[in-house]
This record gives sequence, structure tokens and C-alpha cells, in this order.
Amino acid sequence: MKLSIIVGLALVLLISLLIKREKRNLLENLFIMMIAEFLVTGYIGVFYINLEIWSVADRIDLFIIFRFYEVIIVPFIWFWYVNLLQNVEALGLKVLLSCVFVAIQSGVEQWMGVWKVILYQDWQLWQTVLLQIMMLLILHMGLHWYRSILRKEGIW
Amino acid sequence: MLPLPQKFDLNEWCLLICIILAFTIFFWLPKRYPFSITILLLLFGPTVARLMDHLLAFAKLDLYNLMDGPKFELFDLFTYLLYAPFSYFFIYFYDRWNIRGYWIVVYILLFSSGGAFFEWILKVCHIFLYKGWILGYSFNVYFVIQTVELLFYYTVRRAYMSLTIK
Repeated sequence: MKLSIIVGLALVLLISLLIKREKRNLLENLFIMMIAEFLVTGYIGVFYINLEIWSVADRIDLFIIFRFYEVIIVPFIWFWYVNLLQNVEALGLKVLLSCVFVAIQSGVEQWMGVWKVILYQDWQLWQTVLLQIMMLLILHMGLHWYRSILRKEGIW
Repeated sequence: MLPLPQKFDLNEWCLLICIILAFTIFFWLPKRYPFSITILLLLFGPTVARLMDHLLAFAKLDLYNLMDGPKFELFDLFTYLLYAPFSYFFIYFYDRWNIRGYWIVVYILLFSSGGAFFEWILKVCHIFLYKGWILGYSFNVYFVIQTVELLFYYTVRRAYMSLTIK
């Protein structure tokens, strides 16, 4: 059942990407997706292999859930954040949207903890929130840099 | 968080020399694409390699190790630098030699063989330590990924052209 829910969620994220009506800058979206994939697999690798502050469930269904979580769900949630942010003009709303997405990412990660997909060794909720804020900042910096290049080339 | 190598030996030297050589060729080649596309082509290789390593070399499917051990170390990160120019070269020469029709398959086959041969050199230099993986799998993986990269390139090029025409 858990696996079905996660596969369903991953499929919803993937399908919503395909049927997304507005064609925002594809180059920017590809850039964000690649950076997000690299960063997410990077920090998760460090956490559960090097630092051993996370461990991943041994049960095969839970392990597959973990793979869906790290490779599809987390990067795609960031992808949606970046795309929704472009539709918001007011600074206050942008900050609010950022807070909502940090909460969503933290919530999904905690959900993995509740389902015993991720077994925390020495890890608190505030660290999750901090991690997501850092991810958000790095993605913003990367995006800002890439947009400046696109602007120089007359795009955007 | 990312440990340094305990002994700076053959694999570290080999990796650094390969990175320097690859980036020298990259900078030496005449520029062919706008910078925004070059960045995406350079990012494609490391991202796919990172995903593959993460899925195949860690945890349950521990099919190979990178560098000195199972832990994710600083020089593992450097190996991804090596994929960046190669993913660029693949598209660069494809474009420059204007490969079309069935020659595309031949080109992908040759480049995949080249990739597998280069991986064999890296294996000899102990950058890869196989634990159930074989070079034949690498060839197949390169073949699939390079085909995907071509599709990626056409998608990026079409998007760029439509955006600049606007």
C-alpha cells in the first residue's frame, strides 16, 4: 500500500509535468532539474553512507519507496516550486511560497521517517528544515546565475 | 563530510591528469554553442553519472566502488568533473561532422566503445573497483545514455531557437 501511494505520487508529479500548459523556459527547467538531482543524491549519499546519521530500511518495498523519494519526488517538488515562483510577483507572496515549499519538503521527509523508510540516527526536525532552506538558497543562486546568462543571450 | 584520500596514489593522479587533459581539449576546441547550451551539455554527463552511481554503486546494489572505498569522498566528486567534457564532446563532434541517418547509430556505437575503453583505463588506474559489474554493462549503459543525450540536445536546441526567435 505504501509503495502504491508513493508510485502514484511520483506518477502524478511526472504526468503533471508533461501536461503543464504554460511553456516556461525549458532551458531553465532542465538546468534546475539537473542541479536538484545532483544535490539531492549528493547530500543523501553523504548522510547515509558517510555520516550514517540516516539509514535506509532493509525491506525491499521501503527501499524502493526511498529511491522514488530521492530521485523523483524531492527534485520534482523543487521543480514545481521554481515554476510556481515565476507566477508570483509580490515579494511577500514569494516568501510565503518559499516557506510553504520548505514545509512541504520537510513534511515529506518526516513522512518517510514515520513510515520507517528513513531511520534517523541522530537527526532532528530543525535539521531537516535547515537542510531544505539551504537547498532552496542553492537552487536560487544557481537559477539567478543561469538567468543572467540567458539574459545576456537575449532570452528571458 | 567528504573525506580526503588516505593515500594520494595512482587513482588520484590518474583522475587529475584526465580532468586536466579533458578540460584542455574542451577549452581548445572552437566555441560552437551559446554558453547557456554549453552549460546544459556539460551538466548532462555529471548528473546522469551521479544518478547511476547513486543507484548502482551504493546500498543494496553495491556493484562497484569509486576511488578508494565505499564512502562518498572528495575525489568521487571530482570524477563527475570528468563526465562533463565528455558529454560535451559527444554532441560537439556529432554536430561538427554533421552525422545523419544510419551513421548516427555507428557514431553512438563508436562513442560507446570509446567510453567503455576509457572506463577500462580508469579501472586499471583503480578509479573504479568492480564488485559484480562488468565492462559490457558499461557499454550498454553508455549506448542508452548517449541516445538519450542526443534527444536531450535536440530538445535544448529547439527550445533555444524558439526562444531566440521570439
